[in-house]
Amino acid sequence: MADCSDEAQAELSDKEKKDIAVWFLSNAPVGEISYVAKDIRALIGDDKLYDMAASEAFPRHNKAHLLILELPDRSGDVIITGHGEIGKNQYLEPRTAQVATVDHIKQVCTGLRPAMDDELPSPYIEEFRYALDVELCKYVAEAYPKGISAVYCTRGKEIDEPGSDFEFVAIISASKKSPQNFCNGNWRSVWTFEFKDETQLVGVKGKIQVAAHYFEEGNVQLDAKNEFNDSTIFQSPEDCAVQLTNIIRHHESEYFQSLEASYLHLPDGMFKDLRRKLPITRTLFPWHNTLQFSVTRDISKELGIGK
Amino acid sequence: MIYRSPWSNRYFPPLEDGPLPSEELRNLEVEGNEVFSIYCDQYYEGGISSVYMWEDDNHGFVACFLIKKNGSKAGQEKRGHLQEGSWDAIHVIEVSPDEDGIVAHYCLTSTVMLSLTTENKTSGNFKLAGSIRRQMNLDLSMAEGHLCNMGRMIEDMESKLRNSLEQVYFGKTREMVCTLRPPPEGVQICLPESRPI
Repeated sequence: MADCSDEAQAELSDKEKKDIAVWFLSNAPVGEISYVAKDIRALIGDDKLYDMAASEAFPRHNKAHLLILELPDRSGDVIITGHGEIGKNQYLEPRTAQVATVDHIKQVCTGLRPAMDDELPSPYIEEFRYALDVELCKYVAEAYPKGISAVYCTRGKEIDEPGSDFEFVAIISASKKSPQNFCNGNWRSVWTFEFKDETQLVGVKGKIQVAAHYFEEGNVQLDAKNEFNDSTIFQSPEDCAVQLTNIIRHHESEYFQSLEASYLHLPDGMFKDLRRKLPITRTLFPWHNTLQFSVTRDISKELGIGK
Repeated sequence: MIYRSPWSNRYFPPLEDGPLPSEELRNLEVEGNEVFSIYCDQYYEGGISSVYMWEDDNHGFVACFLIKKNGSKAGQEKRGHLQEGSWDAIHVIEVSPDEDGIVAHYCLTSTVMLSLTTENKTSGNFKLAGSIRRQMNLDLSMAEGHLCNMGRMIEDMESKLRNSLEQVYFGKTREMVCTLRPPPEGVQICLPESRPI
């Protein structure tokens, strides 16, 4: 326990207050940052300080949760991710080659413009990106009822002929927000593909995070994550797209099964390690006969067994 | 911070005028600690327990039963399922005996804080954490003694909280995962039955 001296109880500095506020906001469960923000604003009691904290925490939170925002013209969605971040509050939507302006704190798109040529990949790279996007869309549509995906070129987008390395990042984001039913959750996948010219291989790295929060008369959170490594052969855009999507499908379905397995092992394995359902004796504790324990205890103490 | 040990009844660091329970209540506290540590052994196969009691202003008393169980791999009571795991239980009972000394009113407020993490190659890092709090009010005959009544209430409550956490709460987060990514058709998922308390 901290020492209750005067220093420990001294008023926090503005920076400390802001840092604490940022921590709470950044760690808000999916879909709940606006509720947390309302409380933080009241607690901090200083709108200027709150605004500073919010402008730092919201973009961080939105990117970490791969927030999905509807485009202003309702033509589709944009995923908020560092991989699509172009300028301040601007995010590329690679499928429609548009750039959305985002209000992080209100969590809405406020503007939309066509992407400029230097923001987009060359025709050679786009052929690979487009093919992968099409295949990935098909998979996401069948696997995630509310899933949205996007494929970004994160390195080498200016390359216009074979002979150089380039890199894509594919994002899958699916969330379910149901605060009226006291639950929220999301599934986030980030897949990085390194197309290596020299070895004619595509290196695959994946990271999946799943979060769920249930809070009806209690408070329980699931936080699960795993990472994956794989590779395949550098082929034509179409063949690469099918191969890479197959790799994603394989790892994600295996991971889903492992989550199910973790839940299945919960009662017998994990939970029992903490508290048994019944005592070791398999009968309820004999509270009416506690005198007997004192005797047994004294004997075991004398014999040096038990504690 | 200064603490009173529930075992020795002494304050650490020493405090001359620190409040102590009456002799009668201290006897109950001693017995409570002894019995509850056995209860703790039987349900938690380890863990640490402490029982504190103090007089309240209404001629009754308050008893607080605490359990701390560390189920981590690094902890001493390992069985190897959990990378990290902890179960903290706080049971506070307000006891108000009625005037004729036959029946007492018991108001139990229980909180369980739970955290468990597993880690392996296929399932990666899997963490469930949460807390749950419930209250229970009972009027019971004092014939078998306060400890017997309080113990039974706590045992009953702990079972209910454990059930709720396991079936309702963890069931709900699992349901959420299956909503985000439905299991393949033809595969039966058996969600545990919801049995709210």
